[in-house]
Amino acid sequence: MGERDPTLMAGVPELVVLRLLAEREMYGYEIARTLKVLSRETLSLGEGVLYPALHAMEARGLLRPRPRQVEGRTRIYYQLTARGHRRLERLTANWQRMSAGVARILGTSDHE
Amino acid sequence: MSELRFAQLSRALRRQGVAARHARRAALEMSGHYHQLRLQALARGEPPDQAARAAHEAMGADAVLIERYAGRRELRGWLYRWPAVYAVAPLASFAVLCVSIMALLVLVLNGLQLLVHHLAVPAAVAMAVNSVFVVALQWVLPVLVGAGFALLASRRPVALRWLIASVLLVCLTARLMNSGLMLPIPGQRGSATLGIGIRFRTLALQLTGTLITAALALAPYFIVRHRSGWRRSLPS
Repeated sequence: MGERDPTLMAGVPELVVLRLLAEREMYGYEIARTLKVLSRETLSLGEGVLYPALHAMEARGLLRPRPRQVEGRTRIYYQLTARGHRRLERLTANWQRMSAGVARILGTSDHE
Repeated sequence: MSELRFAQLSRALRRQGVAARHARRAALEMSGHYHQLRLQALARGEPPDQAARAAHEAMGADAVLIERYAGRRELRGWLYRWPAVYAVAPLASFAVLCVSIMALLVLVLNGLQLLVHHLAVPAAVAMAVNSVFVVALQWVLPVLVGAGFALLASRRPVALRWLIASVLLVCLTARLMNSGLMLPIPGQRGSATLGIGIRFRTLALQLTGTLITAALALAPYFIVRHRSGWRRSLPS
């Protein structure tokens, strides 16, 4: 696994979590696992980042929690709200614009 | 051990000002996460005690999680987001209690007069009841309200300045109040009065009374804080 620079990670947890939950509702552990697998271990959200972020997104009305009983335990599944969908669209557009800009700069540097 | 860890986590989050529903849910989710990690370790063929240890270690220190929760304003309870409420809530409670007590007494006395048409008590009894009423409403009640909120604050990280301000406000209001409850005596109807005003002639006396009642209200808070500090300093 490569080295992770925290300064590059600002805003990433929110974007990737919203993106995953746009597909289907998931619970915390499932989100952490799916992120790790889909990003081929480039992204890994620890419990200390993931759960406060989920709760904060819920408090801002981006997610809706839904408790469910699974094998005798209560699991909290998270669903994206309409506001969450709008936020995801905005964040995705910002991310694409920024990453395209950074890619252009990196590409220019390679040629010089 | 695991359930104890998550119960402690929930309590620690609440002590740091995280809203109760987030603290409860965090403990529930962390417990579920731990359970999944333990199952994963068991599936890898690790023995149960080693799997439990590995799951605990994989989850990292609770202190980091607590710090992250407490650092997010939107996850904090409303008392922590607006601590100034602590300066107003005790006064509002005191005012509501005073008005409610007066309304109840008026209702009861009016009801009694309907039942007993010539209700009258000796003047000495009426004076004694009035004195008890004034002491209860203007001395005991503010101390109880102030002490109640102070004890509530002792379990939360409420800034001491807000607590002292709120208790002083309640006690000052009580000192500036004029109240009375005169039961009907022969030849005179009963009355209940409640008002507030400043008498500059007795202001020094009223301020002294404020400080005395505030000290009485805050005493349980400092005792609890002192005892919990003393307990924490004991070797485990």
